[in-house]
Amino acid sequence: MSGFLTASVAQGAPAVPAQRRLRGRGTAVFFWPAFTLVMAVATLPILYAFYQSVHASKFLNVGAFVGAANFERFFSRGTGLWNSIVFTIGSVGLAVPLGVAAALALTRIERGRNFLRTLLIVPWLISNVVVAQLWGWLMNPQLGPVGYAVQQFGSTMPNPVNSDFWSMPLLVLVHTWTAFPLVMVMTYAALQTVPKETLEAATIDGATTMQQIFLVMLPLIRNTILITVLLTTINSLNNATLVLVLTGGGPGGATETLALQIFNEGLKFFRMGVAAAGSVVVFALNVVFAAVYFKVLEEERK
Amino acid sequence: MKRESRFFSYAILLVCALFVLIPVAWAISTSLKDVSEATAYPPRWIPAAPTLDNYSFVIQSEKLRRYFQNSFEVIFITIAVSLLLGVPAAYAVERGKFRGKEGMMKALLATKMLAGVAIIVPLYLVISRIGAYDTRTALIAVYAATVLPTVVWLLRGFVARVPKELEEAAEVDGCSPFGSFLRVTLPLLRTGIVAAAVFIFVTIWNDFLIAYSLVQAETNRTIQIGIYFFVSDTGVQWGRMMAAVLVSSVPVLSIYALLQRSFIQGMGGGAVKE
Repeated sequence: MSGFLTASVAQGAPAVPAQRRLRGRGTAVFFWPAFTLVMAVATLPILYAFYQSVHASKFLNVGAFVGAANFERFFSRGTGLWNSIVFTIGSVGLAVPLGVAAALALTRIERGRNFLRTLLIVPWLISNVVVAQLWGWLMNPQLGPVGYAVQQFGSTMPNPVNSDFWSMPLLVLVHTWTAFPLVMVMTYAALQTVPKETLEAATIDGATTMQQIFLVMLPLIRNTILITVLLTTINSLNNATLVLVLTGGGPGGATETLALQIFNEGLKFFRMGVAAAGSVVVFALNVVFAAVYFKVLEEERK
Repeated sequence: MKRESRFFSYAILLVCALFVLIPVAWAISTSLKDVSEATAYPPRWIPAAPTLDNYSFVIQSEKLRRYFQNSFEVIFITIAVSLLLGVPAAYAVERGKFRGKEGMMKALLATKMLAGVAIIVPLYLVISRIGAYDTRTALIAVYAATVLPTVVWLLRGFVARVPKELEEAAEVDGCSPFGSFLRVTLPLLRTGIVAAAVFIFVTIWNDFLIAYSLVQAETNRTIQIGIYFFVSDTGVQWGRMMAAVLVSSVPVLSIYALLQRSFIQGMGGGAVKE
């Protein structure tokens, strides 16, 4: 059909060169503006960060070459790396199981499914600034319902936002709140691709519900789950906003993640060399996780 | 399906729903209380004397109105710029043949994963050094660059679903290639364009980090920055704070309520199929 049409157009001659312009090599012209803008905004700062990270800085200006000194300072001034590890493992460890469980539960019910799915996506829509304010207020030890409930059990709650022990668990919990809907949506979509026949066959063979879930469904959507793990990891590593607004990195740096440490070094203390060193570190981590992500994605396409 | 299994599913979903709702419900409750009740002990879920004073304060606040307006303006320009660059790019990469296009598409996707918080400080430095700090132009350019990878990937999928035969038929009937794109392809990309616009709106409305690092003047503040500074602007008044926080979430929530399908398509970047 298309062959016939193009052939007839070709006989009409003048339309062809114009058509080539839109469908042939010339089309690159339409691709370049978008591509150039994205690459400029993404790569120039990264290159600049590499350059700045090994040089001293005086406010906005690049100073003398200092080798690894900025990296040493970045790691000795804060415990960002350790806090990020805890924050990331905690977030992935809670958000992924919760999101997968919610998605599985959604596929197993009928009444109220759309309503519940719509409702559970809501945290994903709310900005990190707002999420931090909502939870900070909910957890207020004197005025909030949680503090009150704790008092009814005869103990008092420290303000979790300023507590050495509770600030990190709170941060993980709040991040889980915003992060699990994405896992749920992706898992739910993947579960729709599991053939009904496979599940029926498993039931006929006497598989229990648990066996169906763990031996049939989850293995079939393994790659999707892996992708949600990687996305949640990258999002946890790069989230400075939630930490800044909820705990500000405190108390005493107990929740200062790599992302917030970069933010503080650069935009609060204006130590650009140290901030650039931190940026290089996070960039390197992003490269590692993105590489795995692309590998899984490629496998998925096969 | 077995009965216990269904019961168990509802139990899981009930726990999730409570987890989701409790902070929101508490904020709504607080936003309807006056100062004395918001700080009363013991805390009450249902306000004894509900009032809309906090909302009228928020709606009448000149500053917040300014921040809303700033966000809307920046978002609409970014949507226009991103679509003007993104639609042709998506069309070109799907229909055209040029060297390295798949590699470049992968590079676009990679920037989305790699940049993250790592570019914030150097971006601030680069933008400052070229004298574009605290300008909306810089903010919009950076936003466009942030959303374009998703927009191009998303729209490419929609272009692929437009049958080439339709465009060719229009050309046989005397349309120029550009005319056939405009009259045949573009209308068929409507769903994709809406999904892209929804994605751009939600991403930029909720952004704090980029706006915080690139603009400073109060006249340039976007809504998230405004919410962040709300306490220092008006003093700690929890009822007002929660009203402001809830009102600031209304635009995204209404878009979600009205355009749920586009929302999932857009936010999933075309990766989540519905």
